[in-house]
Amino acid sequence: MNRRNFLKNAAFTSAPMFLNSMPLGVFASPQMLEAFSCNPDDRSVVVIHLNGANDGLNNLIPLNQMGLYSDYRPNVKFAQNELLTLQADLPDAQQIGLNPNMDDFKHLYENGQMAIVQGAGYPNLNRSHFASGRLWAFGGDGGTYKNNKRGFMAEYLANRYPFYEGVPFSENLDPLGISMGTFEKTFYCSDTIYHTSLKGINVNGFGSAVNSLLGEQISNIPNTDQGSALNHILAVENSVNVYSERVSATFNAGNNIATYDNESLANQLKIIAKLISGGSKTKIFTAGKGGWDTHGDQKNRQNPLLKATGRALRSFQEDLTALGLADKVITVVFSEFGRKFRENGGNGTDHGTLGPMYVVGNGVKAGVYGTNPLLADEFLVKDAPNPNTQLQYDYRTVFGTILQDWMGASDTAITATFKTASFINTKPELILPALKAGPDCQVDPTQGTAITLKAFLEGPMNGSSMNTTLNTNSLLPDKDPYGALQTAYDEAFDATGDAQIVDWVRVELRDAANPATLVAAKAALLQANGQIIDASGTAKVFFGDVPRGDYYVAIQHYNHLGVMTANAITFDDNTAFDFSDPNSAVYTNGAMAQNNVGGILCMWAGDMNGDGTINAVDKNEYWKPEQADNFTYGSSKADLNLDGVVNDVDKNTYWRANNSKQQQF
Amino acid sequence: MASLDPKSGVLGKRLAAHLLRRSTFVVTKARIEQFATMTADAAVEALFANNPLRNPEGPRDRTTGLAWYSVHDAETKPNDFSGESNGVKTKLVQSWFFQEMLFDTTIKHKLAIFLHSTFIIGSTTSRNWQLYNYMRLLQYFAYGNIKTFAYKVTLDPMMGLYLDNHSNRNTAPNENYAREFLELFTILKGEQIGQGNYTNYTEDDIITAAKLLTGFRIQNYAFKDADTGLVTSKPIKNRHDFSDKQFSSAFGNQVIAGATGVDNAAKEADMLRELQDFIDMIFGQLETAKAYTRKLYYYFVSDKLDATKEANVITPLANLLVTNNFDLVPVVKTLLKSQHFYDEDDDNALDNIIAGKVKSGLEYMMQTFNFLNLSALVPDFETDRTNNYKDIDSIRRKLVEQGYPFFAPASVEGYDGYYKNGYSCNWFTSTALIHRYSFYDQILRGKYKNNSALKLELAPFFDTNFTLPSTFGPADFPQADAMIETFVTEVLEVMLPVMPTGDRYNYFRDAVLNGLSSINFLFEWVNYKDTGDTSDVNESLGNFFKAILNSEEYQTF
Repeated sequence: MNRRNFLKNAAFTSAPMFLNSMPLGVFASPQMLEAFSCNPDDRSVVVIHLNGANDGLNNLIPLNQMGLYSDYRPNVKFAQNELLTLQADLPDAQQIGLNPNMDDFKHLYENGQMAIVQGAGYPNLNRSHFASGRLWAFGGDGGTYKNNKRGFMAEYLANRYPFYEGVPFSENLDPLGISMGTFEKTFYCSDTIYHTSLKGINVNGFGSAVNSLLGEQISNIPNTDQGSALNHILAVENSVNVYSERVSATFNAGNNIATYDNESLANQLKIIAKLISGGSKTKIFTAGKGGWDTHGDQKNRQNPLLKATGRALRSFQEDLTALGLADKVITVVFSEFGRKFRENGGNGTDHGTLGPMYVVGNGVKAGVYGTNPLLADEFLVKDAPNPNTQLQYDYRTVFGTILQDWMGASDTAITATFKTASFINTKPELILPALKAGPDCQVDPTQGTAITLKAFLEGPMNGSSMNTTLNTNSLLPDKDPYGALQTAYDEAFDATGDAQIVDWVRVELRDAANPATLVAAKAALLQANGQIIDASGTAKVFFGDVPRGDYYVAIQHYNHLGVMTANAITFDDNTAFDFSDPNSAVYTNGAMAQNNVGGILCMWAGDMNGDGTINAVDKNEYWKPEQADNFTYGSSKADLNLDGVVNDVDKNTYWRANNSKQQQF
Repeated sequence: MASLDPKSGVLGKRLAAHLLRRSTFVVTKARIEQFATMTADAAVEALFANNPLRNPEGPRDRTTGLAWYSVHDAETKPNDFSGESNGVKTKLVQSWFFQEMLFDTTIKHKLAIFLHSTFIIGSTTSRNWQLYNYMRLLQYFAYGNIKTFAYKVTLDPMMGLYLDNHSNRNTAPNENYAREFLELFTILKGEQIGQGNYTNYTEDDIITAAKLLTGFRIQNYAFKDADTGLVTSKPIKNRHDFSDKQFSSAFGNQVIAGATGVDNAAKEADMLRELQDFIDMIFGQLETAKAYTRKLYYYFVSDKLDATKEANVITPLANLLVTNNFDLVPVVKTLLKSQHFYDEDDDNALDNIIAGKVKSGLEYMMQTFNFLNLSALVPDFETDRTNNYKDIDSIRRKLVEQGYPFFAPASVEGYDGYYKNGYSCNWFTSTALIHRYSFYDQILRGKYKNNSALKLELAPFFDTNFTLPSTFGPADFPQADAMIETFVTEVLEVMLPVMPTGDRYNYFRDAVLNGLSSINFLFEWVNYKDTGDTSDVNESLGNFFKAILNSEEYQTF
């Protein structure tokens, strides 16, 4: 993964800063002065959908066209003296009066935390709520990309985590996406489950609720059509089960500092802030607020919505600031389309086309992007701007900017997300240069260097599987004993049958050219049947920071001799190695690398000091003193058969038999 | 080798349960036992009975008891439904249809839902009488002809509004309906083989079809179809494009002559001839028949199609559909009577049909509800109007949570489990899970949104339907384990699609025993029989019930 330090760029960045109009005061914001540690993986995006088509023309009143505006809207207009002033030094074509209910928008803007994007939408705009909403969520438009069938956030996440199968992995234990609303989950639409839906869920008790509902899962899945249906059900159960607990845990670990209204959007954002403050590394949060379909009685309906939305956004931002998270989150607000310039006969407005987007956060280069819509445009389509001629910012360039310049997506990733590279070069510069994830900071997709491994330890070997006494007696710790700071997943030590855990082992990847060089190592869990599973509970041991390639693979244990593959093996989607199989080629220096116990190869027991040789030092300096003491996992090394006791069996059956054996690499 | 050859011999319980689960919403132990003695032929014929509706006059006013739809004279559309809002009216209409489904012991409403899933509508909130009209059309054609249905539904007001054909006119053609008609409703989009060419039709065909479909307008409520008696759109001369309609090589470059006539009436009548020619042209393509048989196959049989099944099932059924001039009934009967449907056409144990699909919210909710005889607790409309609607509404509303947005799918593509890759697996989602797995508890506590009194009394239910002793004493101890096994086996064989074995069987049995012995449970049971006190026995039975309903196997059928 490419996480080069961005310090050098941050301090001396010379990116043009005056491309767009910026409010006064923005340069004083503290984050400009701080060094930006380039780690976009800690960042997230919140997407808010104003469901029902927000009338943008009554959000941002074009001060340069007040005459025509008033003509078009005799009943739903605002008079100039009612409007909130925004920024007096904007050019005429950008001069906006804000709806009087948007004082919190004004506050965020003047605080340097909001970008206003004018004329957003897509070509050949569809005026059906659901069709257009789906197009937004699918990265589509009314032309070339009208048949996209997956959410663009799903496309983005699929590119970023190609190995992902709907369950947590070591580098990210949180759901990659969280959906707070109903429609908004469409952004994640795909075969793989990328999101956890919290709509109507009591987040606090989510984990325990799901846990109490699941029975004992079926374990013998037949290889039949019913089997594939059952596997799907199990996958969903596991995903919800692990993520529900995690979501509840992060939620309960987090807190809110700012005060929020008790209102739908505020409640959603409050939960999101609490999750992030509790340590959630969820990448995308989606939320929504309905009621914007103002065909009638517009002012009485839209005004309170704008007020509530502004208050929710401001509370959220203040909360993030107070929690020290303001540099980690950007919020994007959109609506599926705008409304007609001309009011209808019912004190409302009908479905239109383009509208504004709002981008909020410390990382945002505040300002007005684009100019006021042209009310006098002769190419108006049914009283709304022609989406093909008045389109100023394709929404995909806005989201593309967030995904690339904020989340660190590469050009390749953006191309995969939107099925075209054409939105990369037209991106608006929405992100503050100091916090921008420039090319050096972009994150390559995690290819998922992962391996299915099997090995046996001689000490606990009982013929066909291994004893699990340490586990049975609750002696195994949650944290690994190798200093890799791995934590076992919650139910690790509850597994039954062959899947019971024997002990922690250490898995190493070594350089293909020089196997003496360690590339990566992590602790993993050994099951009674020899399978080595990731500490996160996934069947494969997973190295998130290691690019795919060829590596030697070695297994170490704190009192057994290590064993390594004879050759570097190539990592792909299905890499597997079975050290216990006599036909597997393991590295040797001339001696037997492992002990053949009834056809199953087992790692030699006895190397208590981990120096690669079983000798008198092991016995005299470890076994002798320890046999008198009480067993303590981690500090006791001489318990060769892993039964939780250091006694004569360890010395006579294992150490003596293996004395003088050496590790073969 | 997938075979449509008829299955012979009586069904037995397992296959009878399979047939009932796949083709109806009413699966009870009594019905399974009744159908178990029948041959596939007799059983399927029985399922095609034409029973009267429970409320044949449609939804009725809760205050007056009058049929909302038919009390109005032919000229005016219903609008007084207790002064309810449009949104509530729509819900009442939905609940009426739901009630018909819930109590339908035949295949009729299963087929009506098939038609709905094939010709999708949505956005019904303020379109209550249109929704009702559309639902009546589904019922009318459930045992009918899908080609005729394609014609009638094109003129259906609900459809006209949903896909804008109502406003499709010569001066402003709207392609919405024409596109979905080809892409989703009939011949389906094939592989893209050129710019705007989707094998089965082209972009130009859509433009041409949109012209042909101009001018069919929802005129007024009184304008009824002579065959169905339902409201239909009227051809309006001034709104129609009278040019000749030239289609692409996908349709053999067919030209459908623009309507003509000596006067307005003749011209408008000839507009319908244009529509009929258009339908004939599309249904003249074998691909259209194949599209429907594939949909039927996914709907009734399996999520998986391969080349062998294409050759041995889809093609012969498509030919049968054509031979029968698009009558659905003979085709569905052939499918449900076939060896293939019962897994008896080959030795391959892996391609199992039985239990190979995931239940949709419809099957999960309604079959569970009926199996537990809870529907019998829904009062008849005549006796208790308020609670009739309340109960039905409570159950229906659960469907959305279960991932089945009843008559309100998210898009014109329809319900995920009927068309998305993976088919029925799409019914079981992370969002649906928590609601589906909470259902057992809601049933036990009668805890519905509307505080419905529909509540399962566990002990009497098991007592009525399954075998447990009335007396039990020390002399019976040696038989205790066998008695429990008999009971558990009886329950599992009708509630799960495949009998579990080994550890899995023990898991369900142990749920009954609740960590104690068979003897203990049987003492609890006879104590209940003696005293009527359910507190102890319900603990065990509740465990058992939850273990079954929340098992992975119960989600499949």
